[in-house]
Amino acid sequence: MSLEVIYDEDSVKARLKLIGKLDTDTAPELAPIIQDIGAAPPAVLVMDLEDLNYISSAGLRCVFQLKKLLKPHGGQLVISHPSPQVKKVFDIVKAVPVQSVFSSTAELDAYLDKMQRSVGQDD
Amino acid sequence: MNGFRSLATRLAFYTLTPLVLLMLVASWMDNRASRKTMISMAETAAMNLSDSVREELQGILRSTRTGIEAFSMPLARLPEANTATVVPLLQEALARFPLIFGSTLAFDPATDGPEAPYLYRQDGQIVTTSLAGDDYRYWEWPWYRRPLEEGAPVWSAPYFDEGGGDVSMVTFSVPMVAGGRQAVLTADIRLGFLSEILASNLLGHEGVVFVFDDQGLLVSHPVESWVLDRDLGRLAKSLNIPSLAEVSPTVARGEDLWLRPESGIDERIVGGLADRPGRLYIRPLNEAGWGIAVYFSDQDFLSDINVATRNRLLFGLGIMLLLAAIMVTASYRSLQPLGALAARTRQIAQGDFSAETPGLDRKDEIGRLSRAFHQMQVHLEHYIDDLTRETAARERIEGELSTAKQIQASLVPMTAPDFGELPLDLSALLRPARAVGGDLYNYRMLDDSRLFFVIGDVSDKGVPAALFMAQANALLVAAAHHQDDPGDILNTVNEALCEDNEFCMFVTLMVGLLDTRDGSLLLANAAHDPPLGLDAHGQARWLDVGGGPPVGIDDTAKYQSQRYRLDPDDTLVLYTDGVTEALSPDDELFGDERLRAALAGHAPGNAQAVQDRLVTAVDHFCDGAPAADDLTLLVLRYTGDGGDRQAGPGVEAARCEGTLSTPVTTSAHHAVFDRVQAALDQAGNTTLDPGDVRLVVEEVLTNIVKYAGLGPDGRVDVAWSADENSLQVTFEDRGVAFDPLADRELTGNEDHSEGGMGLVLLQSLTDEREYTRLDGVNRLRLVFGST
Repeated sequence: MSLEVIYDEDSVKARLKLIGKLDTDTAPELAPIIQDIGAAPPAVLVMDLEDLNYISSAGLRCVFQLKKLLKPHGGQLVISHPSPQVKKVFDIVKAVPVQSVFSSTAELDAYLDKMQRSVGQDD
Repeated sequence: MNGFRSLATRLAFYTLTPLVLLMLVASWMDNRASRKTMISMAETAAMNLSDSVREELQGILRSTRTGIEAFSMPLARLPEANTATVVPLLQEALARFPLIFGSTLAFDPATDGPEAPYLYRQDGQIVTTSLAGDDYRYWEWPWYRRPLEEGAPVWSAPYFDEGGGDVSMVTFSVPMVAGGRQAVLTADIRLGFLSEILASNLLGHEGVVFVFDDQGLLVSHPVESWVLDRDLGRLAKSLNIPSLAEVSPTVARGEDLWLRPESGIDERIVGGLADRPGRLYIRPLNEAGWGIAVYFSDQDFLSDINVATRNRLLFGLGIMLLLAAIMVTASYRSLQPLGALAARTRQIAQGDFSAETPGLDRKDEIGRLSRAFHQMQVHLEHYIDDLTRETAARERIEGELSTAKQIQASLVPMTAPDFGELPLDLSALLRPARAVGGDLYNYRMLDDSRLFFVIGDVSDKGVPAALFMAQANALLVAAAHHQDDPGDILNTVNEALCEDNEFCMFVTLMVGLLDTRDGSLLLANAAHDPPLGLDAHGQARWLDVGGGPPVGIDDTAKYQSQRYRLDPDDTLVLYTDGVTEALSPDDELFGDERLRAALAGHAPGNAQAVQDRLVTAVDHFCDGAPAADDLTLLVLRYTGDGGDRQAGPGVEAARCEGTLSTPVTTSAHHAVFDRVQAALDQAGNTTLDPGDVRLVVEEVLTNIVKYAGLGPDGRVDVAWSADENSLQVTFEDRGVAFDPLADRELTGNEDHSEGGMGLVLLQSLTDEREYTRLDGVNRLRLVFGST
């Protein structure tokens, strides 16, 4: 079992889809992509974890790294569709704020719309 | 002043003793020197004296001789010599020479018959008599015969002139021819004049001067009876100085000599009065072979010196005494404040600070000492005041603490409970580490059959913990009145304690409710240590009662009861960390394993026996080390028949076990998990989430890889045991000691290390965890699900 990474680069709303397992063995595979994202941080990074069926603390570290990279630029990290196993782990370590974890596309879209509106108002 | 121990006396003694000694030595030496000088002076004086006496005597004799010889001329020119013509001339001679006592011109009896007119002095008159009486027979006397025989003037030996002048005398006889008649002219000289000369020439107060003739016969001596009676030979015997007898020849040779034997010469023996030794000087006096002896007593001269020495000594000693008196007085007066200080010290030692310190205004060392002493006294007084106050305060606090201890003891049921016919046996113990503590236990029957019980441990120790404990205890008892579900009771108490809990005190609690009718047991846990269950055979198992956080922190926390069931003769042991965290003298923890070992394997007799066994084990382990924490035990034994209970989950399911030794690498968890997953499948276990198991296995192995410090050859031994509801996995490694369960701050935030997160996951996803380190082996036992 291994990890497959799909990254849709976008300056506003980028999407990082992880498939398989993110553990001690596979976490290093994510390192180059994290570096890329750090070079050009998007406003919103959606982590699609629908097909990620396993995450360990090594994987959590990657998530924290991404979160940290986005923060200085006001970027947002959103978790989309975590599998039950992954969600459980997220809950235990309180890795991300509860409101940035979305179990369906509809929820995520509504949240993103709302966020974009508030950004627009600020403009 | 305490005699010689007094500083003043000693000062005087040490100063004056050498001075006195010095003075004595100086006086002695001075005395010796003076004596020598004095004796030498006395000897010179003796020699001078004898010289002068000699001169005087010789002068007298010479003038007498000259005079007589001169008078012989007119006698010789007399045309006719007879008594009538001779007497006037003799009379004139006597008148002219007062020293001549008597004189005669004795004619040769062979020519005209004896004729010898003799003139002598008597009572100031010159008396004329004749020596020609038949009874005297003058021609036979030496004074007559010797000049004629020798044809020259002759001095006679001294003699006593019996019938003549009746005095001792010497006679100077000159042979002559007067008026054609052979005759002898004589001049008698009384020896008495010698005495007069000698008496006026004494040496010292008691000296003796005497004269002796060529035969040694005493010619002149202060003791008149000795004159012409004693001689030197006799004196030599009485003086025991044989040499004295040999003096005459020496004198005859014209030599002088000293007689000064060691022991001296007793003055009385030479005719003196004193009885002290002296010395004798002898020298020739005249050509007739006479000698003069001068005696003087040493003492006569030395007494003055001795008196002088004595006076000087007395004077010196007087000065010393005066000096001593001055020194003692001065020292005493200077040092007197020291005595007063000593007395003050004794007073202060007895607690009396009132008296004044003497000598504060003095400018000298004593004054400095006094001022320092005074300062010390003031400080000491303040210090003792403070100490008294502090002691009183502490005693009050201790008294209050003692009362508080009694009150706290009365808060928990202390007497052995009496459950009557109920199948219950209970024993409890609360042993605070200090006067009061934060542990608590309590129990009470809620009705005829149900027993409510609780054990707890308040954070912190001492008075704050005791206050919180009292509050918690009161709330628990109150809650138990209205509610009978342990979880509900905990919720109620938690809400009450969370209110205004500004100091964030909290208490871990284990609340239970036992129904004695069927042994059913409800337990609710607020982060308290798991109770240990013992069955009738002493088989031990931990009751891992899930629950919530400690009471008093989180008012949103919810507690739920868990249901258990006690078999007949099952025993439940509840305890606080005073047991598991009891420290040995080597700072080792008692721990769960020892607790379990102390009780497992022994068929419990009764609750008291179980309690005693555990307390003995803990005390033995501590070996006298002071208890760091309160120790509380609650032992509950159910002796009922279990009622109509059904066979519970105690029935054992098939267990699937296995072990694997794997190298320490990051990917080792795949192999381990695959094997464990296989065991779970085999055991028919569907209750556990394999994802949880996989995650925990990975985290544990990752941890070992990272922290155990094992090289590439390092290995981890993994053992597992699965049944249909649970899984136990044990990891063993020989790396550095690392307790992944140690109480670290485990909150999930992004600053947390990967390891930290792993541990949070480990804690959350397992139901039972235990870490032990034995013989260099880290052993981590994890349980998923309930056994």
